[in-house]
Amino acid sequence: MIRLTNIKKSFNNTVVLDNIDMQFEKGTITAILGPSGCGKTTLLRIAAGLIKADSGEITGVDGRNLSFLFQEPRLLPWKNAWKNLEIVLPDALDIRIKRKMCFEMLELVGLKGYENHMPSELSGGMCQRLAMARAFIIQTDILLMDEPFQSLDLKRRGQMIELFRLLWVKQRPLVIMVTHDVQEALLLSDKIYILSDKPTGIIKEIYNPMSFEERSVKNERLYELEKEIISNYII
Amino acid sequence: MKKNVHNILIVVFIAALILIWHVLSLGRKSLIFPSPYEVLVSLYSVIKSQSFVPSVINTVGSVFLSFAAAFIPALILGIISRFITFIYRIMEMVTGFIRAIPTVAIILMALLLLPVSYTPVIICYFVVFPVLYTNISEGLRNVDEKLLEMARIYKFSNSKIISSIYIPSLKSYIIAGSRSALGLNFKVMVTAEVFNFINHNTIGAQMYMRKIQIDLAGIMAWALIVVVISAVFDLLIKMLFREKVRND
Repeated sequence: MIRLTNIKKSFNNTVVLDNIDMQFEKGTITAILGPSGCGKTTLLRIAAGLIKADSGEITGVDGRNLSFLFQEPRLLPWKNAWKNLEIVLPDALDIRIKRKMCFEMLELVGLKGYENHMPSELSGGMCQRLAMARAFIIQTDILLMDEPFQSLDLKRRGQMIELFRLLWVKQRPLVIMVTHDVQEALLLSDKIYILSDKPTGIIKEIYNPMSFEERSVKNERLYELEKEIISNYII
Repeated sequence: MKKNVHNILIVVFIAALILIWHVLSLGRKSLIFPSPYEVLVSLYSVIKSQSFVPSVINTVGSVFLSFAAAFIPALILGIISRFITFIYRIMEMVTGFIRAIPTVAIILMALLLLPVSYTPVIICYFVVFPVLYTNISEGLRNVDEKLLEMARIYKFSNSKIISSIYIPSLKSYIIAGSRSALGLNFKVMVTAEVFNFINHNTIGAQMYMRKIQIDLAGIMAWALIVVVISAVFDLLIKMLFREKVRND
């Protein structure tokens, strides 16, 4: 379990995060929902250890395998698709095993036949799939996602969400996802933290009434909940 | 197809330049304005002369010596200045200062202050070092922070960060820096050799002798040789790094 306690962060004397307390359980997906610029990404970066909080405590991250799906794929432009996966695998693994793992993962994310393509030869959606493959190829304990589907069109976003669901059930890592898309949060997460605008605090903690398997865009209950969240907390 | 058209256009362009040169030289004495043919004849006699090979070897050797002597400290200082801002600021000042000094002033000062035999190499060192340092330093400062963050998340070892992020990021800066530094090196080396006339077997000394003999065609022939040698090395750098990219 990851616990964030009394997290505070300011930039240039502006309080961005004010006394944030959150808890993320093992094997669950939690969404952090809030308006653009409210500090969601900052919170995620603090949890990842990429930036330091001014005060507060983070427990449950140290010593665990971490993956991060950024807003942009962050692939190495000079390495081909399978080498972009291979690079995150432990050095001690035999190269033949690594190659096999990478090729299998590429097939799983629908990139079979593109193993030797450079990122510049792949479309935006394919690059994002490759980044997702990289996040899941290691036995990750914690996956942090910073609006990874934001730049994709509606069709590709749907495909990526399905792909994420497929990969997640195989490992069931703890996922913390930052998004401003209510539907995306409801489709994927077990728990949702809704944040206010700056100085950011938690205004609501919602548990998803539907199980992971039951959730779909066509589900009436989820649709009602989406409308309720939008009308009560987002607008 | 498009490449072929481009090649044909380049050949046509060069042929047009030679034709213009030929027309301009018509009716003038070779002493004042040699024709392309006269330069070609002079080039043939230069290449056949006994001093050709030793002159080329000496000049190219000196170019490489000064290039290597500048490259290694430029790389080391570039790396240090990436991580120590104070060194970066000092180096910005030093390289800016060296760059601003006219090349001829460096040559004259070096001729007065330094041991004669090494003067061209030392002059070139001072001219080439800022070019290489600036490129390496800028390359290291422009490494994509987002990729470094990704490497931190996936717990890359330091050696993996260097080999898979820093070196590939730096490659294009090193190619650009090396190409411009080497081109500049040839030019300055020949100039320094003209001023530092102690070894007859250098390209600069050969040009100087042609100048005494008022042999403009000979000077142009040697200039052409420098252009060709410089272009060959430029091509070699490009080929060397292209091959490396394919291997990645």
